[in-house]
Amino acid sequence: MGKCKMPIIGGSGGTNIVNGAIKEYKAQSGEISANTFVEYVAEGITIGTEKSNISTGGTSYGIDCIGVSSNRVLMVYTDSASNGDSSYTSYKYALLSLDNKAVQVLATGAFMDNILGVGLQRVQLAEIKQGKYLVSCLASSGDTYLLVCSISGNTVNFGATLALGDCYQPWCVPISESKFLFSHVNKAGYYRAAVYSINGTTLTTGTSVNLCSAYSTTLDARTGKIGEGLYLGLISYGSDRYLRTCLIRVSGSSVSCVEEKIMSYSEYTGDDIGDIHYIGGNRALVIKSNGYGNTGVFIYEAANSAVSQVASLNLAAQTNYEGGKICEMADGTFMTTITTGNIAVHFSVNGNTVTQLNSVTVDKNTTATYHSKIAQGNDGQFAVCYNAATDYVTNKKYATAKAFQQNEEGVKVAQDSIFGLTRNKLTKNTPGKVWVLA
Amino acid sequence: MHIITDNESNRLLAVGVLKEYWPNGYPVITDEYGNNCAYPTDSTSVYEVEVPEGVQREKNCYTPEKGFYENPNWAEPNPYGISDELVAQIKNDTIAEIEEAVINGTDE
Repeated sequence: MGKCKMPIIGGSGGTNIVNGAIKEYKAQSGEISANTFVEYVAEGITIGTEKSNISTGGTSYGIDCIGVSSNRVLMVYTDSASNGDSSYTSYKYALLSLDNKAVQVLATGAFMDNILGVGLQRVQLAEIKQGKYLVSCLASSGDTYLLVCSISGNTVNFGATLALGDCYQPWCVPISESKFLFSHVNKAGYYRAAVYSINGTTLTTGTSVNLCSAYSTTLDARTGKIGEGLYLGLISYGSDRYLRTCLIRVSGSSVSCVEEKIMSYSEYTGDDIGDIHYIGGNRALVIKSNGYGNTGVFIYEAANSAVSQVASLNLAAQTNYEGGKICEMADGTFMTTITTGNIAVHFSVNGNTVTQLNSVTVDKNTTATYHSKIAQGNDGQFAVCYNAATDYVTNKKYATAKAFQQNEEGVKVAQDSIFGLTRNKLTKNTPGKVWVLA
Repeated sequence: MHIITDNESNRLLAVGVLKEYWPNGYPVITDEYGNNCAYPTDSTSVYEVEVPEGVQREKNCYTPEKGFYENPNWAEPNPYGISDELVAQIKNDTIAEIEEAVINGTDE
């Protein structure tokens, strides 16, 4: 960086010399060649456009999404059944593109139609490998449906569904391309898990084992990777809603509980468990309730056959109904959503320090984004998929996807204003010199 | 027609056409809506039977000995198109409001 004199060509043909500066910036995306007028991009989140009413307007809530390639996002959601009976639910998908902060629907359809039951169904997407995903659907009857989804180009294919009874709080955690850990809670209140196998689109059940003491009421349960062969179970039971943890070891097809304990004796800390996101080093990030009416992000660490909470940050004084999802951005920072606050929150993790960077309102037209989930695109873009309650009389929820872009400080080719002129080539990863007015 | 029953409760899980068996031996049933659904062989049973009119999945049970019979645990879904939990919450809130009105002596 340094100071310089910039020649400014006047309207009369004369030349004025003004103070300028040479500063270094990265390109917001791609690369920018030398002698290009650029505009400044501040760090923050830019709001893009949305695609609303992707669903026909079901009375259900379940929704999930996952980034499937650089600019594609797969969304699954519950919707009205085609038989017109409000006692039934349809499970649908939409393949979305994220380009220039705009969402387009590339393909959509139903993969299960007219399933008996309405209400708080849950859907989950988990990546087996790029282009191949596990889909888990909980019907309000307590039946769970698992199936394999594959994507090629703009074509989405689903295998036949595997139906499982007495299966509440289902959750899939891929172990390899041929195995996944499947956890659930049964009617008796046991948190259980087994290793299931995948062969093409054929799914084979494993033998589920009880991992924790049984409780009469299980409000929530989630499972996620916390180390090699180690998995973290988070469970909320009964009226106290304390957070219980279960450290799980998986060896081959064998599943066992290493440690079961009450992690927090603070009421409601087990509420709204959203996501468990593995960050390496026997550590995982968790988004969940931080006590009544609060949502926090936590770091859990597994060591010496025990799991402990090593850090936490309250993200918002708001609840996160049905939890959220943690999305790792290309620069190593994280993005998540909080439903009641109707916000997407950007945060970073450095050792045991969690720092909130910024946040953005997801939808100005609704006070809460029911079951909002998040997925990463390219160039800092991400999509928030949620159910927008636009019709309070009929209680209908409309699946909506909205594009955002997380910006690092940098420059982009000038469109609306001129901030400076590039002196040499700059890219997204390599800064270059830019002449700017001092 | 083929039916699938739950081994524990004998409730009817599926009624449809047997499409195929997966390589792991699980039968795949295509139901009247075109859904293809497989069922684990360790917890369910598959039968090829004549299905009388009016028999519905979940609402009925079946065993080879007893034939089709009503599921004793069947409850009609609520007609409001919302979850049972929400219906219960609305009922409880309404009862609480009425109780409060009675205690306070209001007639609204």
